[in-house]
Amino acid sequence: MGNRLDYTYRRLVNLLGPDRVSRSRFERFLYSHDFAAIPKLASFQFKFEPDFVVLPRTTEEVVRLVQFEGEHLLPLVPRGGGTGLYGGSVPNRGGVLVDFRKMNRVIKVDPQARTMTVEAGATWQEAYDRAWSAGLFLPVYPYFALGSTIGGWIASGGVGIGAYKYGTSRDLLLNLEVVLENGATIQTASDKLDLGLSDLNLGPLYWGSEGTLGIFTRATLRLVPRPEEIRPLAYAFPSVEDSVPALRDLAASPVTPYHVGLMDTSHLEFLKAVRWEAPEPTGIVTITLEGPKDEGAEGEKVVDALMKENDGGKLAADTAKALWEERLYQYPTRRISRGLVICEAIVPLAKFSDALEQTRKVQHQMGMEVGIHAALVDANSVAMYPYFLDDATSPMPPARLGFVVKFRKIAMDLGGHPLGVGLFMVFNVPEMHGNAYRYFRPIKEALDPRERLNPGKMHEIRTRFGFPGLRRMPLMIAPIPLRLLGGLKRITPGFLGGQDHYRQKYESRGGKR
Amino acid sequence: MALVRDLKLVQDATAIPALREVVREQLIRALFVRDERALPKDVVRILRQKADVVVRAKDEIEVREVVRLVNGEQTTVNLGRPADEFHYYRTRLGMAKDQAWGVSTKPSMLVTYDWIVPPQGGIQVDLAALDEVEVDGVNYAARVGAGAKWKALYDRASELGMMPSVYPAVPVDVTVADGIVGDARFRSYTSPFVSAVYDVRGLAANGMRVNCGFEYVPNHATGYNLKDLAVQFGADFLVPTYVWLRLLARPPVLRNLMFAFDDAAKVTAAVDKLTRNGRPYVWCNLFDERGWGLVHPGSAPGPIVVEVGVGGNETLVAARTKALEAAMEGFTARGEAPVPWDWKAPGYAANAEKLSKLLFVGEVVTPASKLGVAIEKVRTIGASKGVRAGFFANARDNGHVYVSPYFEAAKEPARTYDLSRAVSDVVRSLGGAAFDSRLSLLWNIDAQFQRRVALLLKLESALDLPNAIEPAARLESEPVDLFPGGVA
Repeated sequence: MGNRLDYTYRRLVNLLGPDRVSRSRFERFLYSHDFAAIPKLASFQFKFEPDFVVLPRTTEEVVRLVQFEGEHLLPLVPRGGGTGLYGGSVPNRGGVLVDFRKMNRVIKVDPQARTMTVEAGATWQEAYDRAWSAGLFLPVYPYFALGSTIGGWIASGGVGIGAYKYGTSRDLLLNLEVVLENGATIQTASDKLDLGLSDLNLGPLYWGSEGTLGIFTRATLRLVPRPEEIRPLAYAFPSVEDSVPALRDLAASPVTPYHVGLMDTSHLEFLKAVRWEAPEPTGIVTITLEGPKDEGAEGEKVVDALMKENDGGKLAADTAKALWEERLYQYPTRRISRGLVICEAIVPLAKFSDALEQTRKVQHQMGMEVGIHAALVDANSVAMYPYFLDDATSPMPPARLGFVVKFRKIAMDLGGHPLGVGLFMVFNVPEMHGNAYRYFRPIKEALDPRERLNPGKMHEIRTRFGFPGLRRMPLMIAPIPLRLLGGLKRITPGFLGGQDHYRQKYESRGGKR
Repeated sequence: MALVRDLKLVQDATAIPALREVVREQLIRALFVRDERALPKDVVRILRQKADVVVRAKDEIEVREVVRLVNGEQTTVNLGRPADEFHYYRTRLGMAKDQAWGVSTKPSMLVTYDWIVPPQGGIQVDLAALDEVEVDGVNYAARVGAGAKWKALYDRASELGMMPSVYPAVPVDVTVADGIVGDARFRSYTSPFVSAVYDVRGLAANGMRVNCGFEYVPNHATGYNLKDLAVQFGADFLVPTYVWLRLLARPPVLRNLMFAFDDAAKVTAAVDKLTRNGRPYVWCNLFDERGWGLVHPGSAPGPIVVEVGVGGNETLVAARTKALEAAMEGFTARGEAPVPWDWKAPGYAANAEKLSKLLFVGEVVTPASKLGVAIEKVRTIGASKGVRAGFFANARDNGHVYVSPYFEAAKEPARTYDLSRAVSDVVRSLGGAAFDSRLSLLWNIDAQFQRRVALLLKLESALDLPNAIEPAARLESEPVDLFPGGVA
């Protein structure tokens, strides 16, 4: 085995040069997790550490890597900024981890066509800045835009800033350059024209596929004219639940906000623990308008009236501006803990209050402190992001992960769905999609028949073991340990992990609960 | 959508690499115009094939039973019908264990032209009876049966203070599902069809009911994006029965403003400017004189008319109207027209009937800056072919205009083909524009496009393993001898 890996290493070095191939223990360890802390116990089941880390610079190098991988039969796991939450870019059986952060050029911004061609490893922030400097606007970007890469977020298919007005990254995606499992490169659609789904556009198929069907190397995105102004507004309610009627009125109003964010009291308590200037904990709705100035002024009047009718108090413009500027820094509390776990799900707006209530119930049963913030996805749905601090070095964090399983179940029961699949949440897929789940395996087998690209995810959970019987974990079994530990945590909340650090910090600053 | 069937036949029939590019177009023409003398018997057999039975399904359960019948899981006996009938079906359909035959979906209408390859026997399901439109009044979403007309959705949503988020590109009386199983195009100024769809439900090849999205929330980050796949190729791997669509609140003030132009260059500048002003208009449709007259009462105020849906409250509408007027520099007349979708259903259907007699060949997608050239060239085609030509078009905030040229000519295959070819040539000469039609997809031999076709065919056969949905045509001898009599 060792000799084989040595030989592979030499071949990789020949391919990319010594400074872009690594097999050092330290670097492999760094790449063995993404944003979420991975419980140490899971290492018995999966081999999170890749055998090699490579950093290609061009599409041709990626093609050569895929062809090379065909000879050496090591799985290829693409990785962007590592801001995923469920292990989508974490190996489950070692292999070659392809870090795209050296493929980070903005190839072209075309103001006439209002498009931008970017390499997969550029961050959304870089793309946003380049578009802005060219007089254009990248209207949708992730909460982790500072670190999240173009390819990474397209692969994960999540919801971000600007979703209410402009949709998701799929709505921006004109063309994607994809390296297939056989080393061929395809353009999923025309680079110049937005033909929608005509022209056999395969972009939507790859969107959200988490690198399991092909490796993205370049994307062409649609841009919009730079708005005359971005006008953030903020309103306080006794609680987020109290803002729901106002949100429904907003959906019925003639104003289409650019972004609507929701902050629960719990989230602001978390923020207050680390930022003295954060608003006092209460339910806050942030509504951002974007567009021509005259529409912004009228939009503000309409929104003010709506919120007032529903007992929402307008916050000072400075506060609203500060909250908007902090939109990419939602989780500063991570710095007072050794880990942070974020859950994501979309629920119907009509069921949002139920979702909040049930989430809090589980939180109390498990004796956990959970911050909740959310954003409207459109007039019908809300993306919820409950999160909690975690100590990844503690032997008992999986007990808290039981909350993640519970929360995702709540979303599904209310007619919504969890966001993200990755490595750890595959067991949700059959329940989410019902009979349509049966399409997943054929899709993977059709487009990656030899299972070389980020294998053992999306429709199955593949473990580190090669023996038949242990090679794959049945999806029904996967959540059982988490559910058991979660149940134990509900019975003895104090025993399995004590009080959260942030609470002491918050109370030491004079905060009251 | 039988696009896969057409693509596959053309691909199979031109399998000899040396001949691929040479004979492809001749073959497509011969297939399209049904020139049986020029085609081998094998292909003629395929073209003469038709569905053995057309079933008018009353509900989704009947569709399921049809698919199960095709899979051999159901007989007329356990459907409560006599065994004789099952025997009749078996004989009629030529059912045998080793014979692949399946289910195809009948679109309510095709805006352009028929598929080249007809259903290869089996059962064709007519979903016209699934015409329910359910708007619950709480969510801004509607459940629409595969047989429900878009206009019915519009009317129902309007009653509840809502409106659809997309409109037919050409105002013909299509069903929403025609966007999936047919060739209808829907869009608004700010949204494409796919963004308006939450979910497509249908029957899979194995007879199971599948939801490819989520009924009242969008499908984000849930694994493979089956919803978009279903909107794009749904009818190739399932029989769609219901579609969930996103609706919008109907604005308190909704005006349909129109501007007439006498010069294509001025329209080009106006529309280009409009798409850059960042205002969320509801729709932006363009017509030639004749096209306007077909959709609106009274005569057209000019040779080219632009109508823009402006919604909001009084103040927002005023601001948007002012910006619109600034963009529409050079107009010769302006005014307000009735909202084109507000016609009573019979009136709308009567207009649509008139439109459906026109010959449409597809859409020319062009940047707004090239709109004028595209319009002029379409007119030139009409003049050179001796038919009257015109256009309907929609502009979108992405800076594109989707032009649907029409010709007042009989819908004969030969004429349709020649006009399509002419439009395609014109588009090629424009540069930076594209011709979006089924024929243009068949003509496309671009290497990247062919790779996508290969992936699509792989995908289709994986998702419909028993080849039960829209079964492909099977050539007995491959590749086809295109010159059976020898080359003179």
